[in-house]
Amino acid sequence: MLTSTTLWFVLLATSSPATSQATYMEIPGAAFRSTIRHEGNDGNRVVADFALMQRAVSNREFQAFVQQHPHWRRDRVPALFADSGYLLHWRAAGAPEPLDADRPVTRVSWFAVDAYCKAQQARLPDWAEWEYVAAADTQRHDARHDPAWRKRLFADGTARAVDAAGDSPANAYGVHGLHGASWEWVGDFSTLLGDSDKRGADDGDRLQFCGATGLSFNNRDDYAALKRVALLSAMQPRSTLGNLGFRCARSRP
Amino acid sequence: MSRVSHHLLFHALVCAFGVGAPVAIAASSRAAANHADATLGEPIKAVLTSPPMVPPPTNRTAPAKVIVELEVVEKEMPISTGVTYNFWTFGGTVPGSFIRVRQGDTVEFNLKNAHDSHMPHNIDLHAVTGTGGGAEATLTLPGHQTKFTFKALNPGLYVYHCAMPPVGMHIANGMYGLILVEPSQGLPKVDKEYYVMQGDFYTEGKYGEPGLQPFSLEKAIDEHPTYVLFNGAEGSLTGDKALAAKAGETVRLFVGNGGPNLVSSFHVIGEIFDKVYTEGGSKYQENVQTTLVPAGGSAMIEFKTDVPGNYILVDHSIFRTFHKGTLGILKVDGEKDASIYTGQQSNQEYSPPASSGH
Repeated sequence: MLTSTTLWFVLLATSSPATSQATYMEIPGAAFRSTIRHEGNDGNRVVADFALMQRAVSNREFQAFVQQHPHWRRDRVPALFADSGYLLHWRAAGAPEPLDADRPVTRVSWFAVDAYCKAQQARLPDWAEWEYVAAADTQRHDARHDPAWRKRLFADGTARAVDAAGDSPANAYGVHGLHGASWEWVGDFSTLLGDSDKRGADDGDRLQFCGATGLSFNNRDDYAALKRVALLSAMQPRSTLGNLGFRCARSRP
Repeated sequence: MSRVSHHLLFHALVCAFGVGAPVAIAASSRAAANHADATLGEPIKAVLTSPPMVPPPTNRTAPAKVIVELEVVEKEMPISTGVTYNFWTFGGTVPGSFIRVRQGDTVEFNLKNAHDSHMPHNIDLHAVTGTGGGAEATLTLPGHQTKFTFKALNPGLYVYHCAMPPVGMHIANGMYGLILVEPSQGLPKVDKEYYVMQGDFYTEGKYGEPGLQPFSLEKAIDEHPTYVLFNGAEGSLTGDKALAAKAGETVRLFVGNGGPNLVSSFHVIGEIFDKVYTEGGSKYQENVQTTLVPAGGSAMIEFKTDVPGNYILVDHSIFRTFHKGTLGILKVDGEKDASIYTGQQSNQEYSPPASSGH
């Protein structure tokens, strides 16, 4: 058992040596209660074993991808796949500011990050997978019951976030930066909430009614998760933001 | 294989709905708008003011096309002496910029969300007739701007607020303000107009605890505010910032309540409101001492300042005033008039009770 797990991990780590030295942390799956209720689902999920990048993809790593796939350069990407803010913070179309090289890349569209992960023989994590790993603090795999922990997550997406500093410690899965100064894309972002107003424009659908704060959320106290979902569900796949980056995941073969 | 075809289908949908549809909509709505604009003349850019100031009356006898530009800014500001809070604002202030239009105006509303915002925001204006009060039409990502147009059908004083989830948190952080739709005949002329808006705030630290205070969700759900304030900060209407008038002038207060939770028992100590346009509507009550302003509601209050003095604006749910900050001052200068108010005329002991005898 141990050897097969280790072997799988090695395979993951070596599958795309040309573009990435990214480390993927193996995440053992389990039953999990998501903060979000999806249709016909009370939020009870089973997250299968998977692997998640230890850190968000950096400007340097994204630069390597853009060099290998020049159609994802700022000056070549079709407007269908990225809005005008795409990589706008880079000094040149193909290169970030040197100071920013190791910081998480932002101003990337869902189409671009989806392509990036595919090029690493990977994929974007689903919301449930992302939420599952992000439920951990440095000691506990699920710290969400702790009001003090939940409270700290209000600052997610700002410079005051728990993981905003580059040297912030890893969580109990060995993953860094999930609660950082930037938000992160997930693969199924567009299914998280229905419409943009979310106060019941659609004929009384319970899940979308009235801010979705009381009804489609299992834990109405978890405003930090709600803020994240509100941001992601406001996005179009070609949208980019100065505070939205990503990391990739891999399914267990 | 199925994954590939799914992908192609998705791209096709993006082409059809993500790009194609808005272009078509833009073309047809432009044609309709051009037709309507012909009767409205050149567009007017709305004057927006920070509290406690109010834009001048529109002084128009006919409807116009009015362009409003408002920017959402997230910023740390003082909430009390030595205490700061990360406010989310419309126009950089709490409450947000005051907007003034006329009944019948066609209002083109442009909402910008600052580049350094960390959240998307939108605006629900209670003056709008239409889905979500404009909230659906103004979902605005950081660094983006949105636009929609509405006709100001009903005169009155209306609250606007952010309606992005989590709605309560956006409002608790200060995302509200007032928009006045003047009736077609205008409001009666007065000497001074001011903008006062109450809000309740929930911080982790207790009242007066110094430093940057984070939002407390627990206190917000329990409706136990740490601060209850006029115009977003303790002291926003006192000292040098007190409202001012001269004796004999008429004053109109545009009073709003952003909530998110509390209703206000609005009162001015030492004045009687000659008129209160109850709930910001068209009918007025006369000779009112205290008026109730609901969360998400307003009142227009008019009175003549007969004699000089410091008139104190309070929420007469009174512990809020002296323990949570709901206190402002209207400083009225001018000539005293002893026929109306003398001030203290004497101070002496009054006769002791008759001796019961020894």
